[in-house]
Amino acid sequence: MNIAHIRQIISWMTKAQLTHLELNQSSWSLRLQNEPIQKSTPPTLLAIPSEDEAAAYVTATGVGEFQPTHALREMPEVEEGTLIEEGTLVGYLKVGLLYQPLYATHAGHISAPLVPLGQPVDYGTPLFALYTAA
Amino acid sequence: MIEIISKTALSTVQDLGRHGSLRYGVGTSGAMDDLALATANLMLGNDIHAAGIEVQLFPFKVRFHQDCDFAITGADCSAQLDDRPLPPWWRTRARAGQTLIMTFPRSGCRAYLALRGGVNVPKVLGSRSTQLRGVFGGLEGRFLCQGDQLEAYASKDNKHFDFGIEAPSTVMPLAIDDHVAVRVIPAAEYDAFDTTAHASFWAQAWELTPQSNRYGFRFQGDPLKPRQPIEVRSHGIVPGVIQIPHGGQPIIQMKDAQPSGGYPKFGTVIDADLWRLSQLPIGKRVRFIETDYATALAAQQANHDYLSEVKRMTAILGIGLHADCLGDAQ
Repeated sequence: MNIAHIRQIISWMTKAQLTHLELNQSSWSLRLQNEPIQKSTPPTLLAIPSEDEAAAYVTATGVGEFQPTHALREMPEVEEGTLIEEGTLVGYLKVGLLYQPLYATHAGHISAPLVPLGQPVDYGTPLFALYTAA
Repeated sequence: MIEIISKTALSTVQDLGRHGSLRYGVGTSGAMDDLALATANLMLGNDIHAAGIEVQLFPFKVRFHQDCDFAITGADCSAQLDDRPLPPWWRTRARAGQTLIMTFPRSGCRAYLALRGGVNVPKVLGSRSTQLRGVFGGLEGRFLCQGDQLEAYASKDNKHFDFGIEAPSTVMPLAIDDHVAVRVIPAAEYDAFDTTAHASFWAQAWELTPQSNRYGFRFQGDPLKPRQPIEVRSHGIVPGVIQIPHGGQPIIQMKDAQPSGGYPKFGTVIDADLWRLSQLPIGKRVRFIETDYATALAAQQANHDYLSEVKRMTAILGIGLHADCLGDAQ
């Protein structure tokens, strides 16, 4: 089972209007829950640097609303241009009440967010670019 | 095992309270912000009645002597696990030897540290909450101090969860003119005060004075005077009751309230809003909103719905009820 298979199952669930699906095998299990959400337009991507410019991207690890700032705080987790280490918390994917952390997968200078605050994003959507530390 | 390594005072072990013993003269105790502790427990797969640590003075530092899943909720105390900053209302795993530091809150004033499986202290009269007046419950019936060690469940599996939950203050905000607001039902002696006192109580923002603690909150504002002096015999009171002593400045009974008192009762903060009040820092002001029993029940239901949603979210992540949890719902 890989992400492509899960995407296919999700599309079947959506077509069949299923709200819950659970698959259990001896070594793994998969639980999918289809939340009725407002139909959104495809993610609006702000200016994405070309691959030549960015060394890497922080991408969405799942589906949710992109939140660079925690609701209880005024400042975003990272400021544009800051040199960050691998593993630094850079923002959140919010699903309902749940905040899922977004961590930098590489070190580097971080860009401004590539999608607007609160934007629903899909798995793999680029959220930040990371530039090689000079 | 975790060890308290800061000299901080005023931290106690609390669960959701010792209910059903008022007739013996034993108050409820329990977490001042019960919604925060219950949420922390749900984030860990604990029974909501499991005990955690209520932190009232900062910085508060603990060292983990074993791998341990924990959650922090309540006041946003800019927690750090060693050098790693933690967001508010967060669950993660500490490795043996790591230190958690909770510093002076950016918002709110009471933070909660819950451990997977719950804090293991003996149950007394159906609860693990610290009864400071009676000197029982919690850890030897007292505040935690430097060097105290608390037994915790060692996390040995590979299910390492790292996530946060949206705080009820942003899900269910309630404020008037930027002041935290709580809903109040008029109580038995309300009509012994005239309409001027009534209007003054509802219209002004009351400042929380330093003479406030887990026993009761004293407020400062334009004094409220009854039509004529009132003499009331001592009678049963519960957390949330607003008394007006002779000076006219309201006192609100909180979780360590004694079970009886004789001051006139002006109103009662609804149980569902006591968590809002408990996070009011000293020197900040609060507004009171007149409400009724039906609204109080609806507010209680809203809190219940919030916790149900937290439980549903954690179930989606695959966090089930901890088999060895020291909760024992009453």
